[in-house]
This record gives sequence, structure tokens and C-alpha cells, in this order.
Amino acid sequence: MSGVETTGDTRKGEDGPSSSLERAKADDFGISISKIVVAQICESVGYQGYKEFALEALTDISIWYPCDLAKNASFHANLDGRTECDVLDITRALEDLGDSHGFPGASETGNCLVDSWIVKEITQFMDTKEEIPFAQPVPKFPVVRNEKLVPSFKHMNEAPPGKHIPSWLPAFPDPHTYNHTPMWTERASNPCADKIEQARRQIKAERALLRLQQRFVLVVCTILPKEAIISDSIIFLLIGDSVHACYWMSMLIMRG
Amino acid sequence: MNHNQQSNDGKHDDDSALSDFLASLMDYTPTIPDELVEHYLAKSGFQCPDVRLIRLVAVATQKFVADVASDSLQHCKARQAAVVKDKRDKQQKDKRLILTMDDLSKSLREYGVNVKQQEYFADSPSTGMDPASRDE
Repeated sequence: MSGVETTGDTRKGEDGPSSSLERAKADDFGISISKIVVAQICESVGYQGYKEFALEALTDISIWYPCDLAKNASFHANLDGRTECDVLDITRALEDLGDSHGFPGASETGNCLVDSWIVKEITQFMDTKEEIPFAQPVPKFPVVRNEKLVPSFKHMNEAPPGKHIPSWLPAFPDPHTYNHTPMWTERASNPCADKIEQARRQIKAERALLRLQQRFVLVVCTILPKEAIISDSIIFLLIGDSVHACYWMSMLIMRG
Repeated sequence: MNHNQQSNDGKHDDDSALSDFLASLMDYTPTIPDELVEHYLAKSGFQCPDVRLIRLVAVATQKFVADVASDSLQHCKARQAAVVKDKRDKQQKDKRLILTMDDLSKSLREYGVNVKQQEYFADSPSTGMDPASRDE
């Protein structure tokens, strides 16, 4: 707005940081547009500036007035058994809102609403006041988004899992979306590391076998009598098992 | 017969007056955009596809706000005239017309809307009292 300045009371300096922290309210867009409209109307009337609180109060009034008018008009339409309002419902609602202020012909009954003083005043207002269109183009709001609906059981040609679930309800999600399955951990193959691992296991096994043999030797050397060792070694020789024969003879030697 | 004719003529006059009135609404562009009015009407349960009725509500609201604003402007001018009367020698400080809560609340009171602000805020109930009575 060119000619009108705002004299914000004490909120001028505080407005910057605090306004960014305030949560956006549901009707912020409508309220901001209404504020501009009211400021334009005040300028047309002759004001050169406004106080922030006063403009906000007048903006609230300018929002409340059409809402109250609409409720009143729809009430009169419903009284008449209609859901859509017409011009006479609005005229009746305007008269109801003008009752507190008073207007000529308020007490008369049986008059046609077209002859109502309210209609005459509005016609006079349009004839005398110059048009002041809104400063910016306003898009249609609130924006309606097309929601993607979940298809029903009937739509998906699926039978509901239980008899208590009707088929027109939205279908359940696929089982794979909520069943827990183990994850396959895919390891990158490393042949060098695999060979090393294999060799390590072989060495481990051989060591374990060696330890077992040592324990066995210890037992034989300490517990078994000499004669038993000699006779065992002779038996191995006779059957041709030279490996075991040597083994037993070495134990005899160790025994001393 | 004559009475019927007269009533029929009356009806025709009313119909033509109504259609003229609605046609004049489309010629006038109100300050309040149609989209804003449609939004608030839809919120309040007002159902009507006719654009002329939305224009009617817009014009009525604009008229109401303009009336309130002009009434408060009269209060503002009266207040400034009273001040100027008393201090003619001193230079007139504030010639600019500013919309204030005082003038607005005075004009809205006539329309049945009570917009009253607290004149001041006190820290405690005994603020501003005499020390003697405060001790009591």
C-alpha cells in the first residue's frame, strides 16, 4: 500500500525474530489477505496510518461478519426446507445483523425483501463508492489434493481373511511388506583368505592329533607294564604292521 | 380480477427489481476477492453456486467495514479538533489520521461489538496504591 504507514506499537522491533518462531495457524493465508483488504478499505475512507492492534481487530471483524451472515442465511434457507441459499435468505440475514444498529422498516412485517432498506443501501453504496479491486491476484484456496485411496477387497478380487471383515473395506497390505525374513549376507569371495583359513584349520587339526598321541604315549609309558609293550610290538611285527610295531618299540625305548 | 392483476404487476416489478439488483452486483468489483469470501462462506455452511450471491456478501461486508472505518475516522477527527481548539498557539503535532483502538472500539460499540482493551497491566494487586493502605 502506497499512502498508508503502519505504526506498530511496541512490536516493531520484536516482530522479526519472534514471528519466525511462531507456528503457522490454519487460516494464516485468509487472515493475511483480509488484513490487506481492510487496509485498502481504511485508505479509501481517508486514513493515513493504522495501529497494528486496531487493524488486527478490524480484520477479525471483517472475517466474522461474512461467516455470521452465511450461518444466518443458511439457517433461513433450512427453515424454508432448502439447502441452497438465495438472495432473499441473504437479505433476511443482513436485516438480522442490522437489527442492533437499526434501520428504517425494521419493525414492519409483510414487506417484500426486495424493497428492504438494506438492499437500497447496498445499491447506493455501489453507486457512490468507487471500485477498489484487490491489490494482488488471489488463487482459489484451500487447495484440494486428490488422495490415493487404498483399493478395497472387492476391487482387488481378494477374499477378506476373516468372515467378520466386509469386502468393501480397504485391502490388507501384502504379507511380504510386514513378514520378517532373514537377510542373506552376501560376502565378497576372497580366495587368498579362504586358502589361508583352510591351511590354518588343517594345522589346528594336526596339532590336536599330535597332542592326543603324546597323551596316549604318556599313558602307555607310565601305566602299561614292559612285557605288555614288548608283546604288543611283536604282534604288530607278526601281522606286518611295521608302523605300529616301530611305534610301540619307540615307546619301550622311552620307557627305558 | 383487478386485484389479481395488480398483484401480478407487483410481482413482475419485484422480479425485475431483483434481477436488476443482481445484475448490478456483477458490474461492481468489490475490494474483497471472491475466492476469500467463498472460503469463509464454505467454512460456515453456506451453499450456493451463484457468483452474484458471493458478490452480494462481499459488497455487504465491504460496506460494513467501510461504515465502521468511517465512523472511527469521525471520532478521530473530532478528537483532533478538540485538541487543536485548546492549543491554538502551539504547532499542530499530529495531523495524520491514524486508526487506533480507542476510535475503533467507540465506533464498534454502536454496531453491538464490544472491543475493549485493558487500559494498563499491573504487576500485583497492590500496585499504584498508597503506602499506608498497602501496609494494611
